[in-house]
Amino acid sequence: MKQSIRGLVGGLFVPALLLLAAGTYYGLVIAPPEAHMGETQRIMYIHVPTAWGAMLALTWAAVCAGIFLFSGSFKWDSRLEAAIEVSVLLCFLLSVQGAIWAKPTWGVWWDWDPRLTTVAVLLAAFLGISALRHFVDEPVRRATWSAVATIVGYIDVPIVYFSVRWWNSLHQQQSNLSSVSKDFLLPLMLNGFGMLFFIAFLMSVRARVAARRLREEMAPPPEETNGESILATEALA
Amino acid sequence: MNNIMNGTLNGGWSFVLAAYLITILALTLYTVQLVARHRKGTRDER
Repeated sequence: MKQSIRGLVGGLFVPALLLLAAGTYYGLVIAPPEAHMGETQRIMYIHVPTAWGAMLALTWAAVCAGIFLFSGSFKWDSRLEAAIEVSVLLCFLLSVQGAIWAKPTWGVWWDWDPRLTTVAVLLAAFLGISALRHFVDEPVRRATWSAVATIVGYIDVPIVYFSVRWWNSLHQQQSNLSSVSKDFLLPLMLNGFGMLFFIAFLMSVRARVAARRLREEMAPPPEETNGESILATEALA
Repeated sequence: MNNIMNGTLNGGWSFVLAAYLITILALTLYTVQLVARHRKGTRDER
């Protein structure tokens, strides 16, 4: 496995920073305020890309879990560990951004609304899976249990997505390309692709950290050089 | 609610900046510690 992350920095991190900088500048400076929510609506340019990033990271986690269970290859366990951690970070940020947007628009920081509640369940579930990975030392058990738990936890992802359609929710329904003004769409897409590159960078580096720990855990113990083992070797000879 | 109907939400920019700053801070801290962990691991392995 490659040790340097220079390729990842040039191929993912730098493009991510450029896209996010351009999207943030466009969203905060150039894009006009929204007719009803005014300046507050600008939170959308970071909130929606975070939600897209979280959904992608969670989907990648479920894919890694499935492939690990099918193939037993530990490289997919390392990727799963990375995807779980980045998913937890993004779900946490999503909830914080949502609370900050909810206060001026709904008048409260939090409501037991279907969308907010299902995201909270998702955050709790993947935080639990992340904790499970820390508590279990044996690599095969840790990988298998967390892969199964990830697939079970992933059931909540489509529920989060469709919650605004299935139930009467304070949260607005998903917009589509035809219903969003071009002035709003450009910063949204810039930040969306920026977030995609950024989480790809984070998950790649984190997977390498996980793979290194796994190599250390699964490495055979060093050969003993004390008197006993030398005597044992002589006796066998 | 009246503020929303009038299109004059109070404190709009402070909420926007809070959301952006928390996000940037969290992602920066996570990235820095992750790269530091990776570099330490590479050094130790050598």
